[in-house]
Amino acid sequence: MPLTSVTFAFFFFLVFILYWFACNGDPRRQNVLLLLSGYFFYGWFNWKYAILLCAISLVTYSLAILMQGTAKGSTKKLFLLAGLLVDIGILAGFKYFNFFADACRRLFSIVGFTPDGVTIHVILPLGISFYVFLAVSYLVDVYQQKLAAVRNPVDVLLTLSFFPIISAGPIQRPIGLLPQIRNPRIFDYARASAGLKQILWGLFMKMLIADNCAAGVNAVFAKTAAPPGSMLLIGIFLFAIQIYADFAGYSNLAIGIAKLLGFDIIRNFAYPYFARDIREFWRRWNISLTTWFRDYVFLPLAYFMSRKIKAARSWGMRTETLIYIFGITVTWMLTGLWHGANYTFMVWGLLQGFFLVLHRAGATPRRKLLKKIHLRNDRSPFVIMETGLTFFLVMFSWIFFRADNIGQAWSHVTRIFSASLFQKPRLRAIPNLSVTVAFILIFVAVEWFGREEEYAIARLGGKWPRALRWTLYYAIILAIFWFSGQRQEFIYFQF
Amino acid sequence: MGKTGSLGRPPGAWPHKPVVNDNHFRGSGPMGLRRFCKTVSLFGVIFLGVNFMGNLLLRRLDGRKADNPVHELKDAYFAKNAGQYNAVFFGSSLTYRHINPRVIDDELREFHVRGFNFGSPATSNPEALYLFEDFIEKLPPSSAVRYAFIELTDLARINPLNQFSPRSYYYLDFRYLKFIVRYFFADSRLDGMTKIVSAYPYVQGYFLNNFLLAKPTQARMLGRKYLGKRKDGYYGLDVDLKENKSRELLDRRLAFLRDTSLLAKRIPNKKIPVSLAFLNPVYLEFLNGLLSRAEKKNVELYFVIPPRLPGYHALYPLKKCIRGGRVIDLSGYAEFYLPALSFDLVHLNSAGADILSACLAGKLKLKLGAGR
Repeated sequence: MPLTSVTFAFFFFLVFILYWFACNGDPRRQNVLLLLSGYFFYGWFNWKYAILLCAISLVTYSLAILMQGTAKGSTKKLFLLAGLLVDIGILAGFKYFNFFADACRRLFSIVGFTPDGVTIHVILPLGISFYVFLAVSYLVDVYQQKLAAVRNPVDVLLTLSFFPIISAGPIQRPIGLLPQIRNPRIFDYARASAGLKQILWGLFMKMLIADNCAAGVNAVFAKTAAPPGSMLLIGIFLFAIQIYADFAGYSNLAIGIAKLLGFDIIRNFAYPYFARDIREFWRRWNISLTTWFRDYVFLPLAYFMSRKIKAARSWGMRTETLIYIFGITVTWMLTGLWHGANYTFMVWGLLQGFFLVLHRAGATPRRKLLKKIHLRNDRSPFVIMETGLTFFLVMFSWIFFRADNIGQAWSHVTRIFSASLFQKPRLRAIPNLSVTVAFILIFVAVEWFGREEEYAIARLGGKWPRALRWTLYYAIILAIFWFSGQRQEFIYFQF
Repeated sequence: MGKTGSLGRPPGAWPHKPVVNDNHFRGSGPMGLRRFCKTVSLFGVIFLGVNFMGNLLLRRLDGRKADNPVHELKDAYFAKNAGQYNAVFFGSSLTYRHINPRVIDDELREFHVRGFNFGSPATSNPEALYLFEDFIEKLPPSSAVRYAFIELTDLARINPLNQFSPRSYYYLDFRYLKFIVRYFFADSRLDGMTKIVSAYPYVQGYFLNNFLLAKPTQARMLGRKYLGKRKDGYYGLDVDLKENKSRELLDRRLAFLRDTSLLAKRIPNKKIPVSLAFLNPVYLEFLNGLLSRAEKKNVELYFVIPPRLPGYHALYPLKKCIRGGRVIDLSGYAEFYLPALSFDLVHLNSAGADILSACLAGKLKLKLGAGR
């Protein structure tokens, strides 16, 4: 059941009542309730994959206990490797088996050997990319003694199955979630009302902005369509808004729901499209994921390389720079692959790495140039230019994210940068365009004025009289229902 | 470290301190929980109440508009030409595309029947029942209408893709909701889960229709061609395809032609005895109620069982039990299952529709003649 569904609303209402009224403030009872709710929620999609989740959780729990219980470093490492093998192996098997099998087949065919294709037909378990990362976090943190292994299996299982965040994040690491799980939760009015407001804003972003943009994006990128560059540009712009509103909206929903249960979850998006450069963008977009890759892939890789390469210069550049380039390339290739088993995601990830390397390489020359021409970098026109350029780069890279394959992505790129960019776009082909544009403008304005806050409407109406504030909430709820991108046109089946 | 330009501070990796709304009472613990629940409940009650009253007001101002463009077109046309017709036909496309009033008028000339087809696509029961009730309620005493026909089918299930479309629930008031929920729970063919799953979209639709302020919509006026050539409401599918060249209709036609054997599965198995175990008493009560309502307006109401339905188990018992034998069964005629007379799996073509209309007229003639 998606977080935006009526079914989930009924489910959560029940959980909320039981959690705060029936559990009598006892954290153990509350945790059991959350655990059962989490498995019920997850099992709703497919009960078989709930068993998989349970299995991964129990393996993680057991290995962490074993790691903690042994003083010998090599044994500890063995347990860690076993855990990583199981967790990442299961993720790789479900998500990447067919991708790598196909890649190997292509590689062999280059040398004239065409093995029989082997593919497995499985449905990817919901949220597996998220909870496997949580499991890996837990094991690594226990190994590095940042976190003590928890003996209570309920706490560990709950950490990996916390239902607000299991399906699409944020990736709230055990080091942040476990203390909250183990401590009593006291209901806080301010936190709960902030949570409700955040849910409202998340619904607005997801159902009104993202779903309406999706209709336009699907129309532009429909398989039967061969749109000119101008249409593709509009389509990719709408996709940029869609993917942000969808993902950030869902994160807001998840964080808001967690607040209603007394939990604070890591913020996942901080107005990324207002970033002035690509580095800042990636410190604002999917923060939980990028920090995870930074802490568990990039930094360990960088430390490893810095221990191995002693020379001050390697390959014609400073070792530090080489390590950065290598680390960023590997990290972003994996980040791209994490999003999906397709070369387009890999290319998208490598593009981000490339932009980051370029940004780093250009930082010093840029600073010197600005100093030479006496231009302050906080002047509005300059800020606007940098923000616009960053948005354009990100938007360009979304082409690869959206495309089905590299060929299609390349076709889109060539058409955008062709004479057809100046062809008049067929705006009528985009459903509800005027409504979508109107709401995008409102959305951007609200995000801009609320950019200092955790979420855009955090302080909106805070000082207003209750009647006015409630009228605002009423208007937002009505707008969500009236203009939601969810299908309201009646479909005539065989009538 | 990020820049601190005019576009805001870069984020930290850890959760923000929860925002405190200055106007809110800062409660924690059980007191805070109680106040929170009270506040949310109060907002909820006000929200639902404002919407409910708003909808009541809108309906008084607008009337209860059918979010059904074909029906609206026919309703508007009939209102201007009511004196011409004394027989009306309500139902889905099984009525719209099958019942040709010209044929019926010719066959029933001696009874001076002049028919108007109110059928519209996707207007199965309970919506068709509602539209008929609405029609009967608004019928003036001086009306010429003497005969009415409603397509008799099982109550339709709302397709999940249409569950948020106002077209699926615009007519749902508490009375209809109660009838529909009771209908599904009285259906002996369904298990418990299926009953809930069938009824739930209607419950949701009722809620959306009454407790969510209706979205202002522009009335869509369809062209008069949808009234048919003689403006009597009948519009054959093959004629529609020829005139409008709809891709969707063409695809349906071609899909049917690829495998016409599926039609055989729709022929009812007359060897299976009719079992009253499948009689839905809730449905029977409702339909008898409609008969009474129609009689109060001097209208003879008949229920017509169309051919080509997926099943008839629950309809044949109704045929036996509806008061006054007011059911005309067209399901058992082999002609209505011939590919040559078909447009697609569910519908007849114009030639088939003419035969069906003649058959309906013949059966009605017997009933009207017996009544004299």
